[in-house]
Amino acid sequence: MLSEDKRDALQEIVNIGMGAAGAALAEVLGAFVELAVPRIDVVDRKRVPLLLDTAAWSDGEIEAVRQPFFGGIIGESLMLFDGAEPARLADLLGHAAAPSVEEQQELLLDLANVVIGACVGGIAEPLEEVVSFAPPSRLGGRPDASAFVLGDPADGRQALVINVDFKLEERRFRGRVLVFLSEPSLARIDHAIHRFLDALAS
Amino acid sequence: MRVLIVDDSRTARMMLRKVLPPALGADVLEAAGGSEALRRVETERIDLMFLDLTMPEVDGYQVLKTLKDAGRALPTIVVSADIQPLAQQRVRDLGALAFVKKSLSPHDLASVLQGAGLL
Repeated sequence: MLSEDKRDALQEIVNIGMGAAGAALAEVLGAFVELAVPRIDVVDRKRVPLLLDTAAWSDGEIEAVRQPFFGGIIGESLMLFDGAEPARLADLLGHAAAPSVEEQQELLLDLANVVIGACVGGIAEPLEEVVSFAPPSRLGGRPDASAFVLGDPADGRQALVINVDFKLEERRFRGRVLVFLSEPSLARIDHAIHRFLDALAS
Repeated sequence: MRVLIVDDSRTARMMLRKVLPPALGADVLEAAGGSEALRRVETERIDLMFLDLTMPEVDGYQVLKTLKDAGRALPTIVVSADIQPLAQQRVRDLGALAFVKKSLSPHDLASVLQGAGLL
């Protein structure tokens, strides 16, 4: 499922959404945000836990925020932060003192909300889908997210995984957005991209 | 006019082709990355380049810097989803004529081309 042309189209759609997210982050954090090319994969759901193995991404402290979304397409999004320790956040925000636990959590939830909203919303809009978001929630460090990402076995054998990395220039602060769509939503996306490409070719 | 569209995404190249004004009389060439773009610029006559920024391996910034360092003045319009003000400033500093946000309308592109004296 998802031909090479459709994968390319979805990658470009995500790229445009993340461009807006990068600009919003740059404004909040007052730093230049380096965006990587998004990766789009359709994987066997049994492989999803491997994608959540954050040890391969960072050996430092990470923070994870989860934000499910629903509507025309249904899925899960995870925002991973590397380098979000209180002292670094204080530096990013230009504060003399490290933020309180509450301030730190609020900032991470706000950043995740901005990035995930721009990424998932950026996918939904050109494909004429409407999505709503559950409030973001903090998962702490190394998350065992397999349970909620794998979800109901009735959701099919495959999952669409969107992975976008970004980092702040000259700062040790990185982020990773992971968006998971179950097989029924993957089929819906496939049809929507088909319509998008038809309109582009006409 | 020989126009080179540089983007790693085939979809993005198609989207840009679709909004090129007919009045530009463009003979459109494509490159799927920065390295291919630099090869084509080196070996072919290119009058105008549309350049993406976020590409694997050789990105748009590297293409602009390579051309600038070589003293090669090629009219270039950057077409990018990365709309950070600093990104826009950097590409202008590297010699780009203009910066336009993806995805652009035919009207937006015509305005940019007119502003750059290319239409």
